[in-house]
Amino acid sequence: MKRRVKTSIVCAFLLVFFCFWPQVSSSRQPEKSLLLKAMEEEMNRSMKGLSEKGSPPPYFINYNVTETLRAQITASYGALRRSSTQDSRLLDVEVRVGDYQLDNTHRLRGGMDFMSRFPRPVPIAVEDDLDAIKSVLWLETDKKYKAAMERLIRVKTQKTVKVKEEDESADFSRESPEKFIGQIFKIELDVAIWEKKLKEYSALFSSYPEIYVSSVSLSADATNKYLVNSEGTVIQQGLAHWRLGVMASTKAEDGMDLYKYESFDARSLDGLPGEKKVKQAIELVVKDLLALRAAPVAEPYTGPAILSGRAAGVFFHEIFGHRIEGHRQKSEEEGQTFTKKINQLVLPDFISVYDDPTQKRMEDEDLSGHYLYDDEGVKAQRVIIVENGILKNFLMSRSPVAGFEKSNGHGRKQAGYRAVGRQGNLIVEASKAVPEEKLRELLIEECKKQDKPFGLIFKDISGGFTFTGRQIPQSYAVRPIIVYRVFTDGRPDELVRGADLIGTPLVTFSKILACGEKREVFNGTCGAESGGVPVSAVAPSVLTAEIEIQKKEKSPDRPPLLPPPGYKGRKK
Amino acid sequence: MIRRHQLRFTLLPVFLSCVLSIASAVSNLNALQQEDVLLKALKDELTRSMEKLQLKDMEKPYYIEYAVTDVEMLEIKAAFGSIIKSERDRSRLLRVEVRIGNYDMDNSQFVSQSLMFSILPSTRQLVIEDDYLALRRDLWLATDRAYKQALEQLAQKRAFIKTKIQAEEIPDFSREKAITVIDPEKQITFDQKKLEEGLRRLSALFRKFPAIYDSSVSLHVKTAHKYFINSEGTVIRQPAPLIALYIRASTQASDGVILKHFIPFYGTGLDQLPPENDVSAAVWKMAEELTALTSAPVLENYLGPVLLTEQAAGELFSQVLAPHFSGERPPLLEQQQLAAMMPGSKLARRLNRRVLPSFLTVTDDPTQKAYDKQPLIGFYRIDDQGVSAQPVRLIEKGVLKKLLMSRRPRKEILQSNGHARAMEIGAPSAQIGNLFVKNTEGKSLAELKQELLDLCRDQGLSFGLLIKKLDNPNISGSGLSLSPFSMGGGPQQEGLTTPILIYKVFVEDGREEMVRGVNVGEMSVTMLKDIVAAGKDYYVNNKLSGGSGVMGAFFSYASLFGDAGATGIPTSVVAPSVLLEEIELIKPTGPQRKPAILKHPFFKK
Repeated sequence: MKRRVKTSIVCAFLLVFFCFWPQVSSSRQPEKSLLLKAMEEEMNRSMKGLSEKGSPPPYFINYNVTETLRAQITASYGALRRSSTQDSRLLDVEVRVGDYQLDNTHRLRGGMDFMSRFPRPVPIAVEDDLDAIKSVLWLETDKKYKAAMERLIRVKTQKTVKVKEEDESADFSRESPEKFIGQIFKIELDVAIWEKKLKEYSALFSSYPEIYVSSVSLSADATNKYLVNSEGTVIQQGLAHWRLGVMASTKAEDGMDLYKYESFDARSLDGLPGEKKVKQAIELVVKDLLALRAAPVAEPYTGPAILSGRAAGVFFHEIFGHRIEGHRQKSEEEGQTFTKKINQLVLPDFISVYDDPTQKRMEDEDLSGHYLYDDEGVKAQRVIIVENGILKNFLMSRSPVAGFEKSNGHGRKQAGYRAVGRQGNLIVEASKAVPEEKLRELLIEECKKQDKPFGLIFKDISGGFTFTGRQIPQSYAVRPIIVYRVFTDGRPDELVRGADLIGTPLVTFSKILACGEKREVFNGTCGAESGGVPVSAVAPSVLTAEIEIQKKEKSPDRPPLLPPPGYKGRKK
Repeated sequence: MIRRHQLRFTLLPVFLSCVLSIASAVSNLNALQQEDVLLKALKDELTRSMEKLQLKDMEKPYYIEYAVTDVEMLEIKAAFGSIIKSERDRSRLLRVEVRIGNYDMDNSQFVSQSLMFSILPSTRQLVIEDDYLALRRDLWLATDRAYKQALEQLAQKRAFIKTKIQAEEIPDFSREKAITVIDPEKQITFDQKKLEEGLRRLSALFRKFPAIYDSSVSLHVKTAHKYFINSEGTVIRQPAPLIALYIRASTQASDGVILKHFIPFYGTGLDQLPPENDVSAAVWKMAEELTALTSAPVLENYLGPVLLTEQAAGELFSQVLAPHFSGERPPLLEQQQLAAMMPGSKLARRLNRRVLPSFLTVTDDPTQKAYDKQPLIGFYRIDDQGVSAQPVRLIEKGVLKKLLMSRRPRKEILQSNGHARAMEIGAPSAQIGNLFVKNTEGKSLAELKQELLDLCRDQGLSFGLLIKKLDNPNISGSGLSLSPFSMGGGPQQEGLTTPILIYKVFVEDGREEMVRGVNVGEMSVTMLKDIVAAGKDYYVNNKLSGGSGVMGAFFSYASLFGDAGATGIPTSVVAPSVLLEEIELIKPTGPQRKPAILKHPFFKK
């Protein structure tokens, strides 16, 4: 159980976001890149050569190249904090020795298999110089092949000396080869114009002495993925992600850290909001933070609560989504809450959950978790995980578990890692939903029934933000940001700060009483053992009969002693 | 701001029509210092903090310093004729130090478990533009945090001293006189496209060497300015540019042993790099040597005299001697177990004792810019605590006379001699700048070789060893084969890095034969007393050091994959070839992976 919790903490929504950006200019058929050709040629040579000379020969080789073109600009208080562009191509070579049933990737029990998890993608030429690229492919293939042979020996030794494993399913699923040549993406950004814009936006915070740290940032990523494997799969697919983010933080007088983040995600620059909307977001961030500063501290509480769509989405992602990832059902080190629960009721019967990476857009927002082929070259599929409360399936990579022998296109990873079953777009549906107003009435009703003076509404949740910037050292755990008390006696709602969610999170789901009609989207990057991958969670607001919060531990440091520079005479 | 004015000034003769610019350039020239927005922000926030920063009923700071390193970095990396990386980055790293108490006893240099990481000073990124208020804001928050942390440290330190130990009589912080040095800015200009072209050409040279598996060329062009200001009135702005060009190559011998080779070139301007033809020639030579190594015979264990020349001589002193000159009093430790993490200098307790043979004299002089027309990257005028660099005669005729001092005094030495040095991240500590190892009776290489052979004859050996090059894992990238905490320049290190170029020198006819495959068994600073002779040729070994202690380990870790780049403390060691009477070399044990199974795709035809 403990390990479980840890895993869900590791899974954090990062601030760098990813969305698709269809190339505006070209309508013609995308062409196979030179890079992909080089990969195919060296793959064929390696497979042939190693089959002849290697003993035992490899049965599978996979090349992944992740090409990232990135621009990042951050400004604070009217000045640039960062402005950089980076181009990189990272190579991952996977070589498997043995056979589909038992190969070198088989989990070794006991001992630390730590180093194999250490990500080490290999940078390769960012120019299409086939000789230079092939020379790295060759050397990496050779290294990985030898490492695979050595590991297979250890795997086989352990097989003979240790007791039988619970799950004896194969190490690698058989999949039919896929061929897809998609458009390659670029980032076209007028850096100077955006630096100016962000500086102007960021200067708006200057009029609020109570807000100590703030920034406005733009990140633009074009990610082109190239995959070739020895089974004949050849994939070239591109993505573009744009994000504009507004971040601010402060401290309450008692030292509690408070922060707020608003963001806009789009597949193209055109999809980003205009000045008016950004300014509104900044005002909202300021307003929320100032209100939080003045808000009373949340007291420990157990009772009914409403999670907004975004909050519920993060919750489902963290607490439910990670437990239905296929590989967790196999590892004997995992808690395996759901492993033997197939065809059993795991959620209320009016709730269904599916993961659908093929969805591009929902609720008028681009979904970050969209992709066509996963990082193992398997076509993305809509997977029904829970149907009317009953567990039906897991999110599968090519690592089978008992009863689930095939991938369903959820093998995902960041460059340098090994793919495991991960979420894409996790979508929660409720077969019976009520208008939001009605949900609120139900909350009050439930409070009265439980004899509670108030219930809680979680409007915004941090999702465990981990800031990727260097400036902000804090990383936040899963934590609600905007929480209101809703009183049964008709008093106006009251904002509280510092509520930390605790208890057994699964209980929260089993006690869902009703869902709202409005669904919301949470876009983010989820980090787990196969690295950071862009994901989305879409969910309706939910009313649960029981949620437990405790007082957040507050920082011992008081707010800054001196007023910010430039605010003469305005001592706090 | 300044940069713009300077540019206008230099362009003056060309753009005479630009009357307005000329006027502003001339009128502002005198006001350079006042016009530096960053300096002004530093001064103003420092003044405000000294005057007003005080928690109710608590002490005010008695000392505050800000150190900012403003860096514009270009990094280009190429392999096999094509670019892997070409990036520019701009950053401004701030280090704040707030001291509470007084010079005799303050919050500094106390290590407790709960404050373990507070010995790493808080480093922050400042905004990268000359925006006065935005800069002040960053400084304001950083100072506030440092002050609160200092209060906590002082409270703990006082409690510890009261209950556990007698108060030390030695001050915590030396008193030094305030200085003001505002050097002109030094911008390195370059044509990125041209540099990329050059790197493509250099890296493509390896297309002629089928025996080499992997190679790369990387160039780091760092325009840097160090700002330093403290509450005693010291104000410094000095340029700290650095150019680093690394060529690396690796392969496997037929028995599977991994072989590496590398060459670094350093300078403070692009014009200090050798012309491309000379670099190409060096690359060519290196590639030939590495190729030769693949078929060189393996040397079995060896115990006997060894002659170290060229880079190996410089590295011997860089690795074994240079880290042990710090005279700083070690920090006060709450638990003695923490001492293992705080490596101290091995020489500090040997003042006035013989540590080298009497024909060797060692001086550290950071004020030298070049030696024999070669740039010394260890040059600086003012150290990272705002103290003027001083030449220090450390070892006189083999006897240790002085130590390198920061503002952390020791019993025998109460003043700094301008050797506090810091990386962009991390606190300053006493380190070398340019270390000169001089001898009074320099011998020619032929004489040294003869002495080597004489020693061999005495010991009944048929050959002696000549080592010309030692590994620098921070450049060559030893990967994970070494523990991160055993590499790098930290004084905790015992031994030498793997020799790359080793030759047998035969007693019978003096011929040399390249061999490979041994590591130096043991090498410590005390063994340097056994140097029996030294040459009259001096080798300049420029090197980026991680410095001592925790930050050194951090540096080593960061450069685990040989990507130390241009970070680290620039140091130079100028040293002669030396002959040691006895060194043990051991063949490492452990399985080796076989050489590549398939042929290199480029050379298969």
